[in-house]
Amino acid sequence: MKVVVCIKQTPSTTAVLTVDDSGHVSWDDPGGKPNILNPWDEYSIEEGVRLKENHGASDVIALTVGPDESKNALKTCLAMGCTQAELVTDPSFEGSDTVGTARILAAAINNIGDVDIALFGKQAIDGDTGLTPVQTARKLGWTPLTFVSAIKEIGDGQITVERLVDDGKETVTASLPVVINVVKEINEPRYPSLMGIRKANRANIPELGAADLSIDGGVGSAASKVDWSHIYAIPPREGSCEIIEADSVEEQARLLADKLFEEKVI
Amino acid sequence: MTNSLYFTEEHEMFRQTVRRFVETEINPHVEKWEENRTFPAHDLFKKAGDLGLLGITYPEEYGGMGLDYWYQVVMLEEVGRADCAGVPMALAVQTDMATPALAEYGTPAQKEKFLTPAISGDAVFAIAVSEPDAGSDVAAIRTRAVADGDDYIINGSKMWITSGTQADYLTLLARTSGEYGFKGMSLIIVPTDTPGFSVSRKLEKLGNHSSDTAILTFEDVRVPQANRIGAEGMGFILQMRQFQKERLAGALMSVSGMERIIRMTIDYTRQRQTFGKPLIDNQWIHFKITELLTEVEALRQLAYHCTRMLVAGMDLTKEVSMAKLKAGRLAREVADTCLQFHGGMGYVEEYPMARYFRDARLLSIGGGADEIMMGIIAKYEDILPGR
Ligand SMILES: Cc1cc2nc3c(=O)[nH]c(=O)nc-3n(C[C@H](O)[C@H](O)[C@H](O)COP(=O)(O)OP(=O)(O)OC[C@H]3O[C@@H](n4cnc5c(N)ncnc54)[C@H](O)[C@@H]3O)c2cc1C
Repeated sequence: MKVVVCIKQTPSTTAVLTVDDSGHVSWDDPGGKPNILNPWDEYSIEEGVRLKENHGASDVIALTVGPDESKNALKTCLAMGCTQAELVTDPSFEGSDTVGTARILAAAINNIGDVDIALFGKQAIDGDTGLTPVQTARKLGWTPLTFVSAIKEIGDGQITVERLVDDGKETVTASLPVVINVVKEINEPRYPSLMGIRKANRANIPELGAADLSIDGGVGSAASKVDWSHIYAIPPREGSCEIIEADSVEEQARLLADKLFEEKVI
Repeated sequence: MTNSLYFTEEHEMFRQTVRRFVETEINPHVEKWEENRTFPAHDLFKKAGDLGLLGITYPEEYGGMGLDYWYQVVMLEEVGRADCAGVPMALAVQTDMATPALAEYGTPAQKEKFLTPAISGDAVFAIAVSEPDAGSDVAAIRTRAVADGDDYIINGSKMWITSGTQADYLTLLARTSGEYGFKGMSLIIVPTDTPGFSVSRKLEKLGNHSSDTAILTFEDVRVPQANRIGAEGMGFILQMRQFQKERLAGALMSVSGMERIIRMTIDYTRQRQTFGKPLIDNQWIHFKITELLTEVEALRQLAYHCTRMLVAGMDLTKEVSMAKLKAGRLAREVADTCLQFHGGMGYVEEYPMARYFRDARLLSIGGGADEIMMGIIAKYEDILPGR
């Protein structure tokens, strides 16, 4: 069984978004923290590594589309236990929207060949769209299984998973190959061991470009269907604090409940 | 970044792993462990072992990583940042106090049997040197290991032994001959499930509450002579060498601990208002903080210098004694000054300051008191009075 985990390098969790007058977006970490592996992808990496450990997956390949620097995120994936990593990078990919990215990922997954499961995180902490997994499934023509909270069974060309839905959970079975995006309830991601880090730093991470994947068109800023008409940073929320004073806790609670009703919070 | 002269990208990745280990496996439990006056060493060490934290510099054949001491520096610095000093101390006992002599002078069979589980975290180690009547004066210890066939029969007692209530193995310093003073001692690995061994009392302490400290008693404890590290009579010398690692580890962990407390004090004095302005706006306070930071930086650089000497295979006894002495003194100053700037908040248990104040005091006593460090430095400077 071959598993691909599609990951993204993102700004750190403490990075702040700024938009300049010309609408140019940048992320800056006040503490100078470097870019990281998208935190949501830690769950999909963990699940991929568990497929190797518990379901006999032979390959768990971390895959990303991004600049050369994204290799650092791939190294984290290797350190966590992925067997291989692959960087897909090309100047023509710059400015791709999620459909463009999905097209590139699908081409890379087809290029790897014989993949049974493509895992994704729920979303990336920078764009926060959560669109790429399903779009990639569409490009591949595979079944998308979204918001997966447990992989129950794999066998006979089928996979059974538990999905988190609005009012509970549902169990679904689909034929392989599938695209899965996972939610954080699925596992507790491990962190890289010293041995893993050593191995990751010695690993050779191959790079593929547009020509290697026979991609000509449908990617990059020119093909982007998304029009960023107006980008602005969300103004800071104005908050105020009110302390409810009363003689007893019960009285305080009653006043609080009244207030919450009044403000239509509950 | 000052660190980049010494640390590569790989060191930094490793730092992230240790930091997460501290944040997820230690810090959330500190309150409970402090209250319990112990922590689950077997459980925590197993997790540490799985991440490769317990055998960084030890050979790969025994499950170690075979790396140079700079990786150990990263581990100690990050562990030293934990919300208490007790658990970091117990971890450092495992890696830098109870096992260096075994790793360096043990036979392959000894290392297979004892070092492998120490590295994997399957066994908890303690170092048993001090006795009720002999702390600073190690040459005065009285615990005896008398040869009997292929065995030693051990009698005596050890005091203030870190992880003493839960250790699986002790690296014990005992007398193996009748010779007086430092001669005639040997280092022996003692499994604590040997009949005749007992924990006579768990000690209540001023600080380091999360770490258990015990008085141990040995009554006709029979262990094979094959458990002796190095030649008979070499124990004192091996222990003095082992102390160099212990002192370096102590200095390195103290630096990050002090830094954590100073940064916490900066945050606190920024937020706390008196007389209409943040506390930190008083020149006395921000100047004093810069002075502490400067001293801590100087200590860090001395500890890094010791590390370079260690890696180069040089004798660092004098320099590491200086680092340990400075660490003990500075930790007291940092604890006292930072507590002062916290006012009443520094004195209550709701805030980590009080715990640091208690814990920091140990550094000038454990691992050789300040005065013992001074004695060593004086000896190396050849300024000791004639005997
Ligand atoms: C929390 C804790 C954990 C410990 N863990 C361990 C452990 O795991 N294993 C272990 O073997 N030991 C351990 N110890 C013991 C520790 O190493 C000793 O307490 C220390 O070496 C000092 O010895 P002492 O307490 O006997 O003090 P003493 O030797 O009685 O000395 C008392 C004081 O006298 C002064 N002094 C001593 N000698 C001289 C001198 N020559 N000149 C001038 N002044 C001097 C010093 O200020 C010293 O602090 C631990 C101690 C504590 C408190």
